Amino acid sequence: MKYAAKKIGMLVITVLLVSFLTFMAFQLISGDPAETLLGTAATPERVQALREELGLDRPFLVRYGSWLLGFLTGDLGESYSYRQPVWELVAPKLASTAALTGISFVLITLLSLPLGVLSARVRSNVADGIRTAFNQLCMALPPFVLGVLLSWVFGILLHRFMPGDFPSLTADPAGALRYLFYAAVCIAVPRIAMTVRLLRSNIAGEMQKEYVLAAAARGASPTMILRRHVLKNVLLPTVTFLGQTMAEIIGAAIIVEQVFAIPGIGRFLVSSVANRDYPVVQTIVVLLAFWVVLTGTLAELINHAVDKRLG
Amino acid sequence: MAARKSNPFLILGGVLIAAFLALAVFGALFSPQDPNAMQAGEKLLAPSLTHLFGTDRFGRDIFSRALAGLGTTFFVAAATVAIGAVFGTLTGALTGYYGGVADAALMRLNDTLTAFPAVLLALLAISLLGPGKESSLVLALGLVFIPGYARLMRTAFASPSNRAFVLSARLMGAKGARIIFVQLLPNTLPTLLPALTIGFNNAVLAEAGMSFLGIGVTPPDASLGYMLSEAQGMLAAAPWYAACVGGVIVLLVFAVGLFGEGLQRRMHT
Repeated sequence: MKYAAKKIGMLVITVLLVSFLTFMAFQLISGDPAETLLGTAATPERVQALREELGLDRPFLVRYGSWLLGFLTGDLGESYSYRQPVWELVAPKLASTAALTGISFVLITLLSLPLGVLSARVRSNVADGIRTAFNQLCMALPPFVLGVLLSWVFGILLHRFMPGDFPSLTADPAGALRYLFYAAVCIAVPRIAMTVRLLRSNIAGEMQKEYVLAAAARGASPTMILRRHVLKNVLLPTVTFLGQTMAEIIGAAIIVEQVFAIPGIGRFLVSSVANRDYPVVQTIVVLLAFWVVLTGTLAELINHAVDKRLG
Repeated sequence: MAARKSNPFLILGGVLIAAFLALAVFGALFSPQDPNAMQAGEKLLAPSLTHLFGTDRFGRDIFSRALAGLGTTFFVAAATVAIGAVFGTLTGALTGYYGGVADAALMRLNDTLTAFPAVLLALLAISLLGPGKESSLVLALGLVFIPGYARLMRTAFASPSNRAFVLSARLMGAKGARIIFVQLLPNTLPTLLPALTIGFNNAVLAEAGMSFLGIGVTPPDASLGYMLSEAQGMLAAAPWYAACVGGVIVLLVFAVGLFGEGLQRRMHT
């Protein structure tokens, strides 16, 4: 429990630090939002009035404090391009992104573990060559290329879904999930290849160790050695890697949401970057940062539960 | 030196990369057709001998544009990896060799930064530097890659296997900078070289991804990522457009990946 408390404390500190750095970076770079909002034709008096209205005349730390407080109360300021509260714009988009990343993660975990174990058993040179080449090919399939390919094959040729026409999650949940499945496959394929590769090399590394030889000398079969001893030892780095994967999926989702026109926060982030809508960008970045740090912490907690000796 | 095991990955990857490089240089020097020339009568033509990849909706030759895009990709990826690797290696070398408080603090920062998806950091950096400019893209991606290289190279420089000969170099009177660059740097190559190929691939994917999103390389500059997003809009009318451009991206990343795999096997056997 002490361990968990320490890790959660670290999480809070890291997220606060990230939020502070993000806030500072955007304050430095974005110039004066009042001038941005009013355009070049604004009179100095109007700019000054708006600055006071937006609270921009207050010192930096006070503004950071009230922005942070806003995070907890749901008041994140107003989007520059939509003139609506940021939270009202962001909140409805969270569900589709959560569903997309969730499905991707389940696909990756369910498929890569058995494939990794299977791949570790392949020994012959030719099979190793083919496997490695196939693995590299899957890793070379970026989600946006795969997304265009799947849209063409399953959307245009086979009519399994309508690319670009995302069914609403509330009105047609089954249709929406089916649509998200294709997008999730695009995210999952290269990550599965990476996880399989990691598992394979970890298992191969473990197999070289002396305890495996000792177990074999005692008469344990290779399957038994794998199940009883080796898998336990490769579990820890795999959990860490899957934690990192959960974070990476977010990165891939940002692009895949664009490919499939899924109204998620990744797609919103991209359009807000292009529009220089800084309040929205700040909010989404901090939300995603929280998510990234959370998954890392979860992976550490799971590893600690598996092996108490880890400090 | 003992005879080395044949390494098909290194050879196949190397040949493919050389072919791509040759194509990019060839495209820059004598493009088969002007990549920006629009021909009104030749819109969305299917691949043929005059237009190997067909034409786009402005009647431009897709093959010539893909060659130009390949050139952009090579330039952006090389520049990005150069920024990331040079500054990352310097940081890793200094912190790994000298250690101390700066080392501990920088490593914590690096651990946090490398936990974030590169796409997210790149988006943030591009947002801060100004979207839609090639210079911001290169700078943003380069910055994003520094922590990863710094972390990796710090481990290589701080490796315990270095201790004995660092000590003997010191006894002979060598100073820090000489030890780092003359003695230690060559020893870190087995770590650095495969990492360069992985970084190159990440940069290719990041450039294509950002340009696909419309905030990386933007028209009139040719970019494979932007072309793919354009091709996506006319998948039904011109599927070969997306197939050719996507194929070039995948094959390039595949080639560099194979080469890296081969490099890794050679360095670690």
